[in-house]
Parts: sequence; structure tokens; C-alpha cells
Amino acid sequence: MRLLDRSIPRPGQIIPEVSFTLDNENREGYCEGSVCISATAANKTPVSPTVAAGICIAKLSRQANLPAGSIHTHASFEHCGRLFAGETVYCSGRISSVITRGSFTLLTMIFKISNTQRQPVVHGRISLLLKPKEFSRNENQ
Amino acid sequence: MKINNNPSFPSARGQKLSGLCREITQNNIDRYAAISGDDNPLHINSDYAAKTKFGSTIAHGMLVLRLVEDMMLKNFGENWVGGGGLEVRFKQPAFPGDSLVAEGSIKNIRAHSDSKRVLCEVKVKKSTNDIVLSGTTWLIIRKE
Repeated sequence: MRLLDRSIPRPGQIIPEVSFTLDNENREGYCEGSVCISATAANKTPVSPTVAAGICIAKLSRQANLPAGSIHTHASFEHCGRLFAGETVYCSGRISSVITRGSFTLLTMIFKISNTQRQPVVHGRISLLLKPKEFSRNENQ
Repeated sequence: MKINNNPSFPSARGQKLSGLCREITQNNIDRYAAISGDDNPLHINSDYAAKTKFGSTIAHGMLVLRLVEDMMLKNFGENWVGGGGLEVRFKQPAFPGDSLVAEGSIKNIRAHSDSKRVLCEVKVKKSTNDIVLSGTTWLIIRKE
């Protein structure tokens, strides 16, 4: 096993919190597909947990400066509340493990999404297979 | 008390869920990249992707996972959004032009005093029967 690249986060590393608004203008995109959650009586459009998790994971990956070209290998999450378009949510994460084999690195990240009232709504983990350093996002820009 | 669910919801162990079919297009991938902020070049840059072992762009794993979520919504309605979870393994990439089918069945149902927990086995496969992802989902259906 080789030493970890400096650019790859270490196990235990906390990823700084990111907040973002589930943009109302993206309402159609949030429910793109064959099934769309109908707006509630208060005309709020629910945002599915998978969409929220996808946005959160993308933002945390960027925040942690993970290399571009990484692919998802495993995902698990639980959701216990609803998120709505227009709502500002908070996303936090931590690197739980980093395993390197040859030129590839398997990184697992724990994440949590809280709603505007800071109540946890989605939490889970995602494993990513990282590309070698030479494919990093910064070096390709 | 009555279980707050539609009588047409799948409710028996072993029962198949109503499945979903969807074709992955580069347009889907580009739109998902814009919405999620996941602009990994492997998904949206065909020149970059052509030089990788995949040979072309691939769909975001979370975009493929939405088929599973859509299947859960189709079968269980907003109960899915109220509380549940999933665990999946991504087995192989989906490419633009792939026709994907989401399938599932009820693996177990556990009744509680005020709710029931439904556990499902799910998978997404290509028209060639190659498995793109597989795993389990679960949701809580509460009594009114």
C-alpha cells in the first residue's frame, strides 16, 4: 500500500458544512422522470431524498476537493423527513475510510442533510472509487 | 386505527413491485449534472470520457438510483418520502442509449403497533439483463 496523496482526504477528516437552497426554479428537474411527487396543499414541491442526497454528495465532494472522474460504488441512506423546493438545507460530512489499492482509492464519506430548522432529514454514506491524482479536477481545468 | 395506505399498495411478502423502464440519454445526464452540481467530466465531457476505460460518458450513479426511488414512489406513494432508506451497490455503469429497467419485490414486512416496515429487494438492469445496481430499500408506513 502506498502513502496517501496529500490531495486525498484522510479518514476522520471533517468536511466543512455546505448550505444550499433547493432552488424553486428547478422544481421540474427535481421530479424529472416518470413519477413526480405532487405539490402539497400549501403548494410546496417536495424534493425527493435521492435528489437531495445527490446534490449534497456533489457539494461535499467539491468541498473536499476530491479528484474528478470518481465513480460511485455503494450508497446507503435513510430519510426521516421532507424537504421542499425553496428550502435552504445544510449538508455536513466526514471521511470515514480511505483504502488505496494500486493507483485507485476507495473513499467512504458519511453525510447528513438538515432542514432549515437544523433537524436531520437524510443521513447516510457513499463510497467513491477515486481516479489517480493525474486526473484531478484542478489539473484538468 | 387503520393503516394509512392505498389498498393497491404491494403488501405481501414476495409480491413484485410495479417496475419502471427508462432510457438514459446524454440530455438526462446533462440536466442531472446541472441540477446536482456534479459536473464530473466522466459524465458530461465526451472527449474526457473517451480516454477512460469506459470509452464514453456514463450516467451518474445517483441518476440511476432515481429509477429505484421512482419505483418506490410509484408503488408506495408519498409514504416513501415520509420515512425510509436504501442500500445499493453500483455494479456497472449505465451509458447514454441504455434502456434500464427497475424491478423489485417485497422481501419482508414487519408490523409494529403504529406502523409497518416494508423491506424490498431492488435492482436496475439493462435490456441485456446486466445488473447496473442492486440492493434493498425499506419504508415505514404509519397508521393514521
